[in-house]
Amino acid sequence: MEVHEWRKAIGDIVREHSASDVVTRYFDLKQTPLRAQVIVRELAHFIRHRRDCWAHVSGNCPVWSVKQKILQHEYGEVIKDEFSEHGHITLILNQGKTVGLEPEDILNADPLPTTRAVLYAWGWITREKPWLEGLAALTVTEWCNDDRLLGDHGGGHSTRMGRRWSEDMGFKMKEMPNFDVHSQADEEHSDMFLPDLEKHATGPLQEKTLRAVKESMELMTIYRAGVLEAMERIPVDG
Amino acid sequence: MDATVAGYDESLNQLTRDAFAVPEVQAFYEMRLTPRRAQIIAQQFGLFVRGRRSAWAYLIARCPHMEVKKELLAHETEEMLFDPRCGSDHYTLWVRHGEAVGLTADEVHDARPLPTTRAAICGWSWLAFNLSWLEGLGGVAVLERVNLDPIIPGGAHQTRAQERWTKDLGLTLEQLPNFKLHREADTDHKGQTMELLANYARTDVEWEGILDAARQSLEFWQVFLGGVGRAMEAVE
Repeated sequence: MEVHEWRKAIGDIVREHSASDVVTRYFDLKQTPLRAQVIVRELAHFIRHRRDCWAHVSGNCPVWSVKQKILQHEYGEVIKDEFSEHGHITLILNQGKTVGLEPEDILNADPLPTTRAVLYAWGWITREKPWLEGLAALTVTEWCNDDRLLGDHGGGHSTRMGRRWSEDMGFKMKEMPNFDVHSQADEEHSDMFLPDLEKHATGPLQEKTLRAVKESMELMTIYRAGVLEAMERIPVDG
Repeated sequence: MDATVAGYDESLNQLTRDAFAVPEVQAFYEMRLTPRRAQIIAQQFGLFVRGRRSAWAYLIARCPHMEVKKELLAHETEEMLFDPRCGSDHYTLWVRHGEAVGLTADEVHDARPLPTTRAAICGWSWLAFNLSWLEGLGGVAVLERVNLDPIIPGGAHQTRAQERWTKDLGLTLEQLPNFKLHREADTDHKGQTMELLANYARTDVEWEGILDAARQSLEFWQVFLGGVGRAMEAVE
């Protein structure tokens, strides 16, 4: 498949996920500071664990130019980029403060069992499976933040939850730096590896790569469902 | 550096010196260079530089400490993307060495690894993938010491190699940017890596694990250099 065909194929899977019952309920749920804390704590686990996963894909990948791209991606995420001088983890730590969490509350929190399970699953895919499948499984999660793809669904997930927090808790987008940055940075990241899929995911690898995309979105659904259920257990006036 | 750490630092230096005394390593440095032999070096060292990146990536993946991941990512940024000391990534320097002895960039890039090169690269990845991240780091990073003149009597790897390339082939240092760069970069890297090891190795058991991994890593270096040396010997 050429780049535009990959864009369509992956985009369709992401759009299906975004329109699912779990995701719809996730974004429909009224937000309160305590519920928002659940999102922040789990997202911090998710963000940190991505670093292990991307490094595993780089380790498994034999293609120099792809390794270089992964390193560029990770340099921006961990060290600095145009969006953050100290890596993206600081974005979620700063955003946590707006809902009453100190950095140590976030960094020392245990993950939900569902979060732990899906992180282990992504870890397994990226460590044990062929590099193309690992790459596809990782890159697709960034597509969930792509406003271009999900505009008619209310935007990418960062934009959508940012709006929810604004409506329910009165925050401005600049007070939610993680949502603010990821609604922009992940559009760039969505496009980043499409030429590599066109070049390397050919023949029988094409189907396996698409399968990895689907499995990754299934993991994302489990992750969202776990966070949703944890938030639903917190009373709206809690 | 406290006395315990200094003692292990010196043990790592001694292991590195020992590696230079192995016959196939000595043979590599003593062999007269010809353009064809230098081409083999450029191709196999290009593969070496690229192949070692997987080991470092596995260390980044497996280390649980974000501040260490950051340091290792910064290290890899110099190797793979841009090092201000040389104005390029480090692999590109081997392309330039290859071009200085008549290879095209594609001939460096598309070179096939010798079986010994492939085995050594797999060995370093194995250390990083299977040992604890701390032992893996000690093992993978010990190779930076082969470039440190102050610890290797007679000159370290880059210095010895530079002498061969300039004397035997008549090339200038401007044509051979890799040697000077690695003397400087690996002096910095060795200091940074030793600081990480010192910060996280708490017990003698951990240090012994690091030394054992370093011993294996230097054996893979001997396998790599020995293979390159034999391939060079087979051509004029």
